[in-house]
Amino acid sequence: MFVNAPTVAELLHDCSREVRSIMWDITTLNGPELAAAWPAFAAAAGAALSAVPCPDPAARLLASRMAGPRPRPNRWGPPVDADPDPHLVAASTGLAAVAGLLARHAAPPTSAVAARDGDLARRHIVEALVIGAHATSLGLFEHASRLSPARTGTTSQQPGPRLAVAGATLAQSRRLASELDTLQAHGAHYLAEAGVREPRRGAQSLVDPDRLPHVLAAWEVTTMRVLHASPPSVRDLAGVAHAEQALLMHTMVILNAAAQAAVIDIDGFAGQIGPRLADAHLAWGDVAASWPVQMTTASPPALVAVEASAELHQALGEITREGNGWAAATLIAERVHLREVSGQLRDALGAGSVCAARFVELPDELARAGQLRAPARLLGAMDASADRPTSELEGGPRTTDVANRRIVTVLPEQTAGATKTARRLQQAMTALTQALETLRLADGSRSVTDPASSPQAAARQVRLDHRPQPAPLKGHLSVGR
Amino acid sequence: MATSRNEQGDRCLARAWALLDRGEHLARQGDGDDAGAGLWLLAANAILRARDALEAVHPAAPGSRGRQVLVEETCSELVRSAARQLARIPAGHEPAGLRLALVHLAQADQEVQERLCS
Repeated sequence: MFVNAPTVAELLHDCSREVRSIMWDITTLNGPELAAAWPAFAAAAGAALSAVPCPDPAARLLASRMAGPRPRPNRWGPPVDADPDPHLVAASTGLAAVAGLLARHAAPPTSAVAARDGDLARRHIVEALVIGAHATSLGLFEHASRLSPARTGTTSQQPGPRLAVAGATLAQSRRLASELDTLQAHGAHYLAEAGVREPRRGAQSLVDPDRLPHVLAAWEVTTMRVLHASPPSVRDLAGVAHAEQALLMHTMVILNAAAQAAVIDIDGFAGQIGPRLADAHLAWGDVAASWPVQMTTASPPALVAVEASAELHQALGEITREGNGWAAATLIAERVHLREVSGQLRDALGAGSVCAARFVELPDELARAGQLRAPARLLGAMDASADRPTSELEGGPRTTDVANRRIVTVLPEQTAGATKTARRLQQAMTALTQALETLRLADGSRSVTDPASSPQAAARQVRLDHRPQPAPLKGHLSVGR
Repeated sequence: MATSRNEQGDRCLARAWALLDRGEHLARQGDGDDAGAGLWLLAANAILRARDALEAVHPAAPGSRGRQVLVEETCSELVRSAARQLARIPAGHEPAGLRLALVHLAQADQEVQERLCS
């Protein structure tokens, strides 16, 4: 590899996050602040792009355009009287660091892999540029619209002159925004072409190291909110159970890669962890099935739970999947830091164990509150499948309700099966988390991560105070070098 | 007229919900291949998210009118049929947030197609 790829990659990830975070702010975009930071950002992006060895003509042209469309000295227009936007400044600093690193260490690539790394770095720089240009242009257009005189009859007329917001004038804003739109289009065209040239595997070899812990933390918080809603939606309960099942499956794939790479003890994984993961996986499936789609509470599914589940699946899929199948262990090891990810997953399974405990409480709790409803036929069928012939007097559904296809309130005694299934899950999860705590590698006992410092641990503190806290995790999942 | 269009929209949503529900059920059964079972689980979860997103934006979607007997189709056909149902909702009568459900539906379709291509 011709450069210290992880370092360059990390810097580019930071840049990407900074420019994207401009759009995350819920306040209005501040055009003048973005415009004030823009020239330095464009210069840094141009320098970084030029510093990647062996640029193709398209990259050279784009790098030259980053210098600005106007004559010297102010090629992006006159300076704007505003404090530069901090996100764009941070991104500029990162790109300048990338340019510096590449200038010092990069050499023309001598292998296909190195050439791909170069292409990927170029692509990330241009992506940051396009997002930065988009946000700045958007901010300037918004700024220009605020400075435009109000149309008669469409807005209230205020007496006196319209005071300009500090910073760019109307014409200045519109012109720079228009120039940025052109640059953005150029960048987008470059990326579209690069996408055609670039092999898929190269593009997937980098996974944002910050993404998984944050997604896991968000998932943990969301599941707790969903499971403690009053009442929770039955759809959400099944959705959580199925997502936890998927989490276990991805964990199996990632820990297998960690075992192959001797990051964790391969015998411990095969003998202790694998079977328990499989048991817990099946148990989550059973729990999900105990909340059939015909059963309802008064609550519809929560979009936040759907979104959190989608994020979880996507973040894990980025690590474990390749094309139509699973990624090879070696590829997973290239994509992520296996020791850290193993620790994060260990914490996530600890949180899953707490979820499992909540699933034990829920059936009876909801039934006692009279919040659970289901077709009488379903309840009859559930009794029959559980080989539990119950009479009406013992809490079975009434014959007339079954015959008339009525929706009835589920009684506490009718939830015994679901509670039993959840108890089995709780036992499986307890066995799994205990096994994970004892997993070691022969040559050392360094802990994976300090649980208290992980984002998940921080998120766990958000839980409602009256709920049981998770069993303390001791960070015993040990690793090799 | 507006009521009739509303009803048409509701029917489309209910049918799409029912198609996705059936699709999820089929995906959970997988194709009987143990090696691909895990990936089918992910496909089923994607369909489940599309169905739940649909229900979240239109809680009446699991209504009885859409729960008619479904012609036995493959998982892929069910997901695509659901997309067609949503496309039939009259313009201007889409529930707020339908776009989000469509995003999840597109992801579900991609997951299922990947399973068929593997």
